[in-house]
Amino acid sequence: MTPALVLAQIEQLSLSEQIIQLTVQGLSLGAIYALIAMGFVIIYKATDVINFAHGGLMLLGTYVVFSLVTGVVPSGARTPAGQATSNLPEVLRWWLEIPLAWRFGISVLVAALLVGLVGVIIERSVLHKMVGQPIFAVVLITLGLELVISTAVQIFWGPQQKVMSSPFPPNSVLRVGNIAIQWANVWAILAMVVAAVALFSFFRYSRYGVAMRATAFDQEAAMSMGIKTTTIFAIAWAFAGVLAAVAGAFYVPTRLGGFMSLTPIRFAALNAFPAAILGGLDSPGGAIVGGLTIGVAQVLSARWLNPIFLELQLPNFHLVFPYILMIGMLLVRPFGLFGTPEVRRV
Amino acid sequence: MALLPNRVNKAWLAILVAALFVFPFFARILPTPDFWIVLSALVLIAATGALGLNLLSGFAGQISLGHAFFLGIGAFVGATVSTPATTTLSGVSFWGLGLPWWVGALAGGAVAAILGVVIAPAAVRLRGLYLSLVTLALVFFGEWLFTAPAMESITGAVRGRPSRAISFDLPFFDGSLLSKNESLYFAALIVAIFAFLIGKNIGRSRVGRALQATRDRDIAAEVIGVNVTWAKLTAFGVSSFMAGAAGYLLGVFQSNPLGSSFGGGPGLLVSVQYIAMIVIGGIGTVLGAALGAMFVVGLPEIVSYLTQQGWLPFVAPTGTGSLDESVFSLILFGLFIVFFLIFEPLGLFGLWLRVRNYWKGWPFSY
Repeated sequence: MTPALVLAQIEQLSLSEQIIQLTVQGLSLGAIYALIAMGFVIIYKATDVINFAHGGLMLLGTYVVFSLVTGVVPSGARTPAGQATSNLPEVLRWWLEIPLAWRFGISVLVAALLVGLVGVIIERSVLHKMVGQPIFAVVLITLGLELVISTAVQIFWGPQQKVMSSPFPPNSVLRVGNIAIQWANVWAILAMVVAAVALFSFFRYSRYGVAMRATAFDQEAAMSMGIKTTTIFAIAWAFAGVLAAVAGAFYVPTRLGGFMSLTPIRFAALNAFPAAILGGLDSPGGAIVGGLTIGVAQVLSARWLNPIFLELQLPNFHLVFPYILMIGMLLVRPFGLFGTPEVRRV
Repeated sequence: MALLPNRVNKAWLAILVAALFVFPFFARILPTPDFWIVLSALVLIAATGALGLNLLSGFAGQISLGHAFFLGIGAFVGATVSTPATTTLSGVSFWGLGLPWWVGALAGGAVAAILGVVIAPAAVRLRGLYLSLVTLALVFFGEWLFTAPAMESITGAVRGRPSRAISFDLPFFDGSLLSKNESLYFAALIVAIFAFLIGKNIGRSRVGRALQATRDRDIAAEVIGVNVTWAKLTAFGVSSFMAGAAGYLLGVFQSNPLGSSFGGGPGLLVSVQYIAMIVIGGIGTVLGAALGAMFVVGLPEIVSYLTQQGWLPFVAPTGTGSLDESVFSLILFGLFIVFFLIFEPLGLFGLWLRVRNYWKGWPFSY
């Protein structure tokens, strides 16, 4: 969230180079927003609920990736902090011999599966009981779940700051002319593209994907055609968990320089709401467009709007700029760019 | 329905109010008077704020995550109005009017209410869920505004601003007879009594029914002649007013309210705690706000007591481990929100109704 580090060097570039450099940075931030926003959208599309527990899932995913990649077994306050040294038992030490890049990749996949499983468990154990209850109550339940998951993460891993080792340290950059792009950013964009392609092919080609679209379109009709909507809800939660874990895994190296602490990761997911709203809360494609747009807008506003507001003694304007865009969109077109307009009846 | 339907209700209420006024003098003979006074004052403040949120969320059905923002507005506006202008040692000069505390509470409430009404057009255009996102934006907007150097003479930017302690110096009463905390308690009590009178009256009158109709079926409400726009504006105005007044008192309690504690992540946690209050106490009930406030403010103290007694061996004292008292209370709040919404949607108020109805017919089954 702090382009300040790069800003010092960026003023030496020409204007067009600046725009390219910042746009690429914005796209990588936007890719993460898009990953998170897709998670919101999948759950909203399937169950009509805005899932405030997504931040908790992302936090959990991030810490699971950290534990796997650095070989740290969570043990409360005694979890190694800072530049973590592994506390794996002797029999599992071979895991750390594997090259970092492979270890990171495998860790992200395993964490995605685990958090997806947590999503399914949450749906089965809690939200399943709320089918037919007012949406209002379900949304409040997700808020309660966020509190439970995030606090549980703090209990298991302890509050101290940790460092996640990743195959792309902050100083490894891809240079094209004067433009320098961190490899972490490139990989974040790639991860988003892979996740999006996987998701869309699932919706398009798999039996369950088609069933999911049918359920989102008309739940009762889908049920009468023999689709188990409860399974569909569980799949939606599984996907949300997977996306949250992937987003968390790339959020830490790209935005936090590898340093992990609870609060920023936990509330990062909320910053993706503007992306979901901009694209339309029930459109997965819109989540990608919205995410990339908000990411680029935020980075560009940090470069060109922040100085204006700094003159007025109002620093860090880029932190609220996405929300201003979101409120603007809500007032003009509440269903977003690609969302379905709501049909209201008595 | 009348405010107090019968003599029994009147008598009980009179006893309750009298007990609340006498309580601080009774507390003086307890071993730790300040602890009990401060705890009860915080319950009263939280009850006022929770009642505001309950009118908005419970009665009018508008989920708001932005309650902390309005609390913050109340804290800073109230402090500016009630504290004399000062310059601190670090050279920050704060605006201040030095007016009596009740002007501060009213001003904090009024400014918050005006901002609430400004937000309300979004609520008129959007329904339920989308609105919760606008109010979420409000929390982040609040963090940005409260900690900006431009606001330094009001909010003290990142270091917070002083908020003068309450004193009851009247021509016929010597304020120094009451300690600082006792004065805060009485101020909170007076504000809470007014808030609950307003809340109870809204609940049983045309306004309350208009809010409930808006919540249940807004188009149907409009068809039968409820002015939905006006109802939502009222809900936001009254709700933010109560939050502002409660925020002012909270600021006085903190004595140096910090902008960052009312916005961003910490602010969101405050908002979620208020949501916990109304969910646990009972959504859409006036008494529920008070019960929920008691529960949410009291729970950390109960956890702390149980830990000291050694009943919770896995919980460490605050700040010494990953599972400390405050963390344990937070996870309990989360679990209670989930538990009550699934099993007892009317919260503690619903439990109370069950107990009361059981004893009404006792010993007959119905």
